[in-house]
Amino acid sequence: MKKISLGFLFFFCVMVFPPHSHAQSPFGGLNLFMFPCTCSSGYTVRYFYPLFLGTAVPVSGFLTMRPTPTKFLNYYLHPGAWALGFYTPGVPECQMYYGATCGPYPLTLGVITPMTGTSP
Amino acid sequence: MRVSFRLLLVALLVFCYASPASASAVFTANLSLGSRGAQVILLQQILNRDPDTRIVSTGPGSPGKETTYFGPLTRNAVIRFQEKYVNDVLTPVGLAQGNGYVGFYTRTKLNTLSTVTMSTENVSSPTTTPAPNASPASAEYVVQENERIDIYTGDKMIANVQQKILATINAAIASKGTQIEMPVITLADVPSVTVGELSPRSGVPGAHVSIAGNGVASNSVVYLGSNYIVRTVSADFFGNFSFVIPPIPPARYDVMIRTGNAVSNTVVFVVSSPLNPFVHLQSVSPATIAYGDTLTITGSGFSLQNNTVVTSYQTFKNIPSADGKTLTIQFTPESLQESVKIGNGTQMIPMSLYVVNDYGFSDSEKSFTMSL
Repeated sequence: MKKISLGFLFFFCVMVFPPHSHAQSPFGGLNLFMFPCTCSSGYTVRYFYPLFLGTAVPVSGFLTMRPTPTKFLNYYLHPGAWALGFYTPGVPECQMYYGATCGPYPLTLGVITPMTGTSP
Repeated sequence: MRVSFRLLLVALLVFCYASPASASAVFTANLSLGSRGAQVILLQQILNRDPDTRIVSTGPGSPGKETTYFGPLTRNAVIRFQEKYVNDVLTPVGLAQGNGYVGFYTRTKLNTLSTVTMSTENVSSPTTTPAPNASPASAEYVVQENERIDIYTGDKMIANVQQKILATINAAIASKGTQIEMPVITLADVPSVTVGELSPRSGVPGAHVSIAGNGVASNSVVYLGSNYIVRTVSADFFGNFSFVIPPIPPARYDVMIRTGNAVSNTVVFVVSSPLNPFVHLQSVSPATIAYGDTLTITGSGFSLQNNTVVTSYQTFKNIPSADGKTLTIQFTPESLQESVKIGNGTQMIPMSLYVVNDYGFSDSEKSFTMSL
């Protein structure tokens, strides 16, 4: 029931508060995993499922999160929390260390815009 | 004068804290070997409060792990209890030795003790783990046999999903980013009820707690550990759910929410007492560690046992602190096990940690860095 509500809320946000930048898109989802981008200090990659990216049908995927204030590292978007906010699609900001060099982590769908909140 | 005022304040707090437990008799039925039910949990809690009558130190029946079954260990503890209070329990019926049967006089003594205030040990020795069974809860909040479930079912589901996700990340790293494979996860793999956080994260019995989560409904019930339950959640105008902390012993609880047969992940809530010491973090050293290094945390208000240290990528449970001021952990997050194999020591991962125990959450987080 709450998932349906989240879907409706998602569409409501898109309709009433269209993204002010064309680069940003709304998303909502359950954060299940956090992993450090080992070549981008402070960056983390988060896996969401279900993940709503503009349709009512949930998908799954990774989004990159930029460094957040340290005091929130454990509380902000921790695994088990629902997130609702905006992201910028297609930006490969998460760099991983691959042994000799660093390179982009290929599975990320984009970068979460700061101030993303947890969903009640 | 100031000292007297403080004493008066402490006495008032102790009195207020003890009052709910003294409202009514707790033990209303005779109990003996083979008995089952909520009153057996309460019996074991009272027996475990006293080292002389403690059922067992570890495992089922030990402090914090009381059960609904009256077995041989409970019977032995009851015998020790009866012989400790021989004048009140055995002499009136002409016995000199305990028999393990909880009859009228044993129940009367248990009911008397259940109204006694919290041990003053916590005032004089702040590093002592607060008696988790200081005052038995009303049977209304005790999990019944038919309600007993594994409260960690949702956590296990999420852990399984996390393993799948980690496998794909490790595969991508091992193939230098060329092996792109998304983990296959379905809705059946994740709990349909999830709890993001509780607000506040600690409070005394009677406190209202808001639930930030998904799948919570008016018919949801809240488990506090495996033994206590709140059967009523209420919703406000906006559909946000909350519940009231019941009169249960002060301690750290893993909280799970069940809606129908769906079980959520757990989050921590501390039922606090005014007598609890303040959990303070002072320092974390060294400031930069490598995988497998030992991290030393200093502060105050750490309990003798059962401290939990939550770091960004690894949670450590049941960490002891002999002096109440120091904790040590060996940092080996499973999620970074593969990354560290290819690391060159120059990649720095910022991390932070906090501590939670039976007294409460630490007053702050401390930062440190891990080099890969």
